[in-house]
Amino acid sequence: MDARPKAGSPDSARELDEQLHAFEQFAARTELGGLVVQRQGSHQFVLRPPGGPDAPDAPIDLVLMALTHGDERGGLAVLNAVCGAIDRGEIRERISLGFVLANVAAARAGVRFLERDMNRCYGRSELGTAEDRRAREIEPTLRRARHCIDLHQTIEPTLTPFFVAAFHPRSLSFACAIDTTIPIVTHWGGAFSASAGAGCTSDEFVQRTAEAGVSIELGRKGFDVAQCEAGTAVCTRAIAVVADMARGRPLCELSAVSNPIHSWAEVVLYPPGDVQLTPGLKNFQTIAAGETLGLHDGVALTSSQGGTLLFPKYVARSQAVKPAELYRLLRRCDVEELLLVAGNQN
Amino acid sequence: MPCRNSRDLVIEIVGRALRCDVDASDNLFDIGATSLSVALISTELERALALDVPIRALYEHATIRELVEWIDGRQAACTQQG
Repeated sequence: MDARPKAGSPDSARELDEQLHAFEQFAARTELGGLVVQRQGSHQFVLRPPGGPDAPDAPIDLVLMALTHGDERGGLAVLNAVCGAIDRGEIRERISLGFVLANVAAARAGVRFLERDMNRCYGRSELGTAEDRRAREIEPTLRRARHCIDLHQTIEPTLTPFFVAAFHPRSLSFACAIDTTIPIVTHWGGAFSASAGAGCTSDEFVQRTAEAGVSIELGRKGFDVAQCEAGTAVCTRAIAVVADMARGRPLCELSAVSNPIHSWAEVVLYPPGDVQLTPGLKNFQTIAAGETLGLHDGVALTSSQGGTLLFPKYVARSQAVKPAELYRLLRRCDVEELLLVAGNQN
Repeated sequence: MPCRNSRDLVIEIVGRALRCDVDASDNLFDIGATSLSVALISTELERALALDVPIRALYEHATIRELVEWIDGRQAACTQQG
């Protein structure tokens, strides 16, 4: 039996309420660990060193955001843990920090989003959906960000946390400075999803104006102590990295990024008919060419090539609307390929 | 001169992957190649030609004409070795 709290379950809803209350308590303070608290509208606030620039459009050294997807609640606990560490004096860096909860309405409803995927709403001008309206509220804060980390979780378990970012050399260098052991999934030449329309992800939006923007997938969605600790370590390290940069220490060059780097090898669309993936598939699981991954209309569904599995989708037969994708396969990229990509972008 | 067959094959595979009309003078990255589509093009070319076509080759020979010349050169080298 799976004892983990489910999004929308009573236990999960109570913990969500407690975590949202804690976040709002931090936002309502005037001071946190010697930093001035500036509320930025609903579910957003900035911590700023006393005496530093406080204009409404002043740059924010690092923005940490969570709840881009309402059912990926683990990042909220991370933001609260970081604020708690600042409050207790365990994090003492004197940089400006933004904290943003993207889609609280969806979180309260226990769903990924209400009307449109929030992570496909940035960079648009539309106001027609709840998520578009919320994106328009958040974008001014994101435009001020010098660096940004968006905390996500996966639907299925993952063998390792991983960064996800549109290809942007400084963002990859930023991820490397945070932790060289965390794999990076990157992509270029198009939006994250073919169905993105005119909208983009938070990291794609932030990269337009910031030094660096990355997302991180911490693990299977839900409140989880180990994920909270890992996410807090990533954010704490990111704060130290940004503070070091403010003191004049540059990020490494793209050629020196040593994290394992992956990009898409294949995006397998959800086929018509009855599809049942083999139970237990995990993100970052190695897949062999020809490996059976499930059944499609009673026939073995096999991988056309080897790679690393990402975002497998388990869908109940009763679910009328199927997802666009069944799974993705990743391939390893070497730095030489990325340097060629960068050359082609210039 | 590049072999007409390999040129037509490359144009067909690239056009299908990028969903556009392709000309021999086109640069893959000017006509919309992405991290995903280069992987698809590499895989499709390898299957069609029974030749190792690493993704890096698509960046280093980014126009259709350059890519065809590179493929023809590789095929000629393989034939000589075989």
